[in-house]
Amino acid sequence: MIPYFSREDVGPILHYLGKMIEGIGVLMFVPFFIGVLNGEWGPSIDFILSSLFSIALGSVFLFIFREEKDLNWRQGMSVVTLCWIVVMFLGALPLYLSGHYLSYLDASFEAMSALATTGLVVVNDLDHMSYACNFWRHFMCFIGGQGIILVALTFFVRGGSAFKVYVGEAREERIMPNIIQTARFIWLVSLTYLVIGSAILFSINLWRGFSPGRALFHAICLFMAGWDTAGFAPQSQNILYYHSYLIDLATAMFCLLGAVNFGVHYAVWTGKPRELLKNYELKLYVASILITFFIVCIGFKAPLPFPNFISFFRESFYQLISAHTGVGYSNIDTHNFSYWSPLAILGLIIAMGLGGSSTSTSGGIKILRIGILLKGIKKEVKIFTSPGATVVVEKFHHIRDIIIEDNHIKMAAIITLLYIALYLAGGMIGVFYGYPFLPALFESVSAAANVGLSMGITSPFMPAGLKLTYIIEMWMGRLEFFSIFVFFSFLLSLKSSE
Amino acid sequence: MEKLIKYLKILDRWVIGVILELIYTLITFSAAAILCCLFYFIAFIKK
Repeated sequence: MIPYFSREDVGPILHYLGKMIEGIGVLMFVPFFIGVLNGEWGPSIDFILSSLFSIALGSVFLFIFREEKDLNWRQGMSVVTLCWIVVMFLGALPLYLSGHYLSYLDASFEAMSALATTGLVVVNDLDHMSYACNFWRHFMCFIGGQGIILVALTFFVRGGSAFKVYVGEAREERIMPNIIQTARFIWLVSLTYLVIGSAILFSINLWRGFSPGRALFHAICLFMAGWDTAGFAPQSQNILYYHSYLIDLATAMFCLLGAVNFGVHYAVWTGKPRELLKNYELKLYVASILITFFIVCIGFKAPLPFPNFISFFRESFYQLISAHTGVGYSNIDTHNFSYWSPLAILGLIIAMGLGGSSTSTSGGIKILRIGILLKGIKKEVKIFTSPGATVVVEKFHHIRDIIIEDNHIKMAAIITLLYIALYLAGGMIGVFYGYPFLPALFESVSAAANVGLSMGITSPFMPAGLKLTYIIEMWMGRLEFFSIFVFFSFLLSLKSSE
Repeated sequence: MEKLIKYLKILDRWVIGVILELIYTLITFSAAAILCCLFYFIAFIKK
């Protein structure tokens, strides 16, 4: 049954949307100050104008829809869905003003790519972009990866509305009893690793001859995009620019940690280190990395196009980790995929499609869902092979012991099927625009699973229809469908009630 | 003083937690490196 909405729902939805819009306006002050510090007056003006416009727009919404009520589930889901679209348009404003994008669609594509932590880029002349604008690209990755709603929960949303908007942003687990405390804990983990990760990357950059200011800028940007599994880098060559084993290792480690469930971080940080060994999702995640890596390895045929074992491992494993965690960092040129066999590419597509852990910054189907489906299959096989009256119970350990119920299996199957349908639909649209099937599927999975690796289709010159397709895929993939479906049912019920 | 000890205990757990997580990722990488190494020398170098 389609949930019934009325015009009375519009007020609370737009009230909270106004708060989010104001919030994004306030966040634009950060790149503004970076621009001022670097003497980049043009970009600073772009940011202050964009910020004032956003705050003014948010204030208009709050003025018209003044009444603050607790949101119900449908309203919460609709706020999240709308919020991501509106924030994309507003986040694109300073990017477009920078002159590095051919159209507003391109700037919006880049903004959605950053917010959804995808990492596909359509920017022109990135190597000459201002510090302020380049920082904004990475800062949006951090905001989007943490969750726009999570940012808002920390500062703006209180009371009964909090959990409804939190779930709407594809996070189901309460790590702590209170949802605001959960939001703060997620910030705590991320900020702790921000300090550690940036310090490590800063030291490496400094040691390799960067000036201190530039080393710090690159370190913070790389960490924000790596931890939040976005895959943007300050230079157009991405990680290849650094030509450094240490940068490869450090970024890969933080990518992997960013794709770990925040609940696991909480357990390990609060004196339960055994969770690292007992957690079903984490064990399955490591197994999945090794299995997909094996597929990539057998995809290569002798003679190998690598001079030695180190370069073979460095190229193949880095792309695999980048794909599986959903980061999208690349230490090779796009053209290098031409000597990857179809099987090796398929290994990457599977890794991208599966994604990282649930309640992490990663995208894709998520390993926990695959685990639940595997347990579901095991349960069904046991039921078939057991005597009639036997009660079959399957359980797994994920923070606590969980008994598998039919509802878990049903939800995991629905979301998995929706992701597969989205991957294939995007791939077919790519084929419609004249691209070969495998690269089209690769790019579609990369967009929908919020990865960001590219075989060369994504560029400022690809068809506008394909850009729009990937924007929708990134949006749907990031929000995991349901809040979007609820929002569209809202629009339909409004129309039918006229 | 008691509060300080309490905070130090929490900090201690965090530091241990971060170190354990970093070690965990290194072990994962090592497992992949061993797999890759075996594969490389068995499948490719033999040929």
